[in-house]
Amino acid sequence: MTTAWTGLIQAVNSIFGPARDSSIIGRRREDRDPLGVYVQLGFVLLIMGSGLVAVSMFFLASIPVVTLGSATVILSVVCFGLEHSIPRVSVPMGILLMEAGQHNIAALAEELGATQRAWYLPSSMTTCGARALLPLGPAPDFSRMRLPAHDRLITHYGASDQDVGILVITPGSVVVQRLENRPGPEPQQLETALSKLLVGELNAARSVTVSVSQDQLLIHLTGATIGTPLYASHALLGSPVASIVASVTAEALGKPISIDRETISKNDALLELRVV
Amino acid sequence: MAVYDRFIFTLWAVFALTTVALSAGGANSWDMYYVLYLIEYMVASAVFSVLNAQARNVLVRIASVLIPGFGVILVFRVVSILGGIRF
Repeated sequence: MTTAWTGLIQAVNSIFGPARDSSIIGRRREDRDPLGVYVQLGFVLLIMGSGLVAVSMFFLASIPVVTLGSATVILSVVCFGLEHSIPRVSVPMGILLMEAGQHNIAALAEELGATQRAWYLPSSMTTCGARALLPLGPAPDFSRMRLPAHDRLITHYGASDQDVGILVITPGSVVVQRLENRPGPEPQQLETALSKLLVGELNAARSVTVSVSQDQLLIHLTGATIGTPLYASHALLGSPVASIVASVTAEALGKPISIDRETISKNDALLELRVV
Repeated sequence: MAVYDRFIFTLWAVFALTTVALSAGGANSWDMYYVLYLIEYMVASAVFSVLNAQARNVLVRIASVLIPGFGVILVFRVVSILGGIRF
């Protein structure tokens, strides 16, 4: 029985192959548990479907039941396939890492006296990829901004001596680095890109809507899972989901973005982004 | 509910509804069911385009196995019409 079970699992693995690092947060793991939820569901559906087909063919002689059994078998194959496209990340471990990073950024910002909200810069404005700039002096003048060629944490970005800020990597910066294509600047294109990321890849929302209101971009997330604790750094950088939205939007528009307001009600979130 | 769960649930629901509707309508040819299942699978895969690249790749692979089945049905139909053979 165990040998047959192992053989089935190996057959599934040989058809769909091991997980690849094609997702945003995915990592190749050779030691992944072969019996994930979808594999288990797939086996249940396969047994049910095969049983239905066999019983209806030999005893009931009912074509609708045979086809229903066949459809169940097709569903089981879909489940096997989907299991191999899910990135395996331990949620508690991810939260631990994020918590440590957020506390470090908050401590650094507090020590250096950063009080202004972060500006999310596109990769075209920096030499080190998408970053968030926490200004330590007056509000930055982006028309005269010139960032140094080196990837520095504390950076001097303007003509004045006071034009100093902290360039930090946020969850959004990492997401932007891994985007296959740069999203287009139109709201519809941005909506598609954000939907693929937040709904399809990260499972952080159920739907995303982008609209323009004067000089603001309004991003409405339904079914948003922003269930992370409130860190001190959120006041400056926004929540991780807001950070991802802001970074991707900055990259799409090629302009700096700041999170004006983040309103979370139940499972919905409304992000008001300011574009320079 | 994760997007994967919604995809599987949607597929299950449309397959079940199709079976109930067709059997209630007296449809008794398995190729009609197969073609409808295939169309529904393709539509659901297109609607859930937000699935990640690897999941979409898997769905395309499954479709590439299911579509030849449609070709086989077509051949059987053509042979039965032209040759007067009933399958």
